[in-house]
Amino acid sequence: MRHHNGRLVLMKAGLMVLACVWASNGVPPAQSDVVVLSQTLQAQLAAVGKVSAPASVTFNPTGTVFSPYAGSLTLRYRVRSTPTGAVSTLTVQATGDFSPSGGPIISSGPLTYSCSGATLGTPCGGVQTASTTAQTSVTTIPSAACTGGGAPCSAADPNTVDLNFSLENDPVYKAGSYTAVLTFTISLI
Amino acid sequence: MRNMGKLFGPIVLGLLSSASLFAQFAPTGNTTLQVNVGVEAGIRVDTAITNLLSPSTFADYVGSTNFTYKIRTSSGGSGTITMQITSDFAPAGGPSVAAPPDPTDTLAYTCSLIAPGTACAGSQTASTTAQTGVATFGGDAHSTKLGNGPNSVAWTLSNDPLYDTGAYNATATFTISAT
Repeated sequence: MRHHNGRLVLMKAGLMVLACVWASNGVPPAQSDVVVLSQTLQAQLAAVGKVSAPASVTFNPTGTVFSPYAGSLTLRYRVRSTPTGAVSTLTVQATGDFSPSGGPIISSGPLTYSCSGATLGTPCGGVQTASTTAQTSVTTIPSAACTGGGAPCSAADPNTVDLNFSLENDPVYKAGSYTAVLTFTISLI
Repeated sequence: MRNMGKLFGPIVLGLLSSASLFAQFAPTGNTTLQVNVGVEAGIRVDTAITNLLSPSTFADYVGSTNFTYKIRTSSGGSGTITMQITSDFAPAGGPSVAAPPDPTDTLAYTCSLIAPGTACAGSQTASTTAQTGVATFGGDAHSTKLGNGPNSVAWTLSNDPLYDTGAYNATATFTISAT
């Protein structure tokens, strides 16, 4: 009986000591807590440009006997050019002459085009002659240019430019169907 | 539920194929140019008024009409240049192609042509009722870009004393075709 009462007294004493410690030092922190940390985020946005061309363009005679053939297309593009520096370019180059042989020969200069209606940048001026050996101008894009969303970027998204082609109708061409491929390239500086 | 399963395949195929119809944006884009070059032919008469003159007393009247042609025939095709008097000499009383005062009175011509055309052979008699030959072309015939010329038709008109004196005009129409 005395042994049992002693244990009980010891327990009560220990609890009283613990309570005194908490009372003097405050209630200990809970297991969950809130920590505030700061992290710097950095994004490197490079200049970028992309172009989309229609799959094909069909040329048709413009008038009567041996009138030139004509065709047109609308090119779509999206751009984010560098804030400063030289202009960027949208160009075109024929990958080769019309095929099969016997038809128009692009390298002789019968294929010309004009540009208009660029919604971002300046379209090529006058009449350009398509080439198989060099890229020729379609549109020049200034620095700090961007597509879509309104000022300071363009309102249009995507941007567009119209090309009107003219192909000589030389009697020397053999009668038949011919195809050639044009590659449009957007180059950002 | 079973029907929905049957539709799944076609729907997936449709979505996959529709995606390829749109031109994708990329650093470069390609367009195929397509042109059908057909057979064509054109003629330009370079002598607006052909004066027929008699070099000596009652010698036949002679003169020349020049023309230039452009032509492209197919590899298995051909071409022709023909001529017809579409308006007989007027006013009446002078020469006539359709009803000359003497049946031996004629308006005849010979042809001179630059290749690839072949000139009519010998002397031809002009007609108001039918086209008569000036030139022929074979398959895969091509002129230059500026046209081939000068080609010519040399006229000879009978100088019949039965004609009344005066000035008379007729119209010759040239036609070119290609296949």
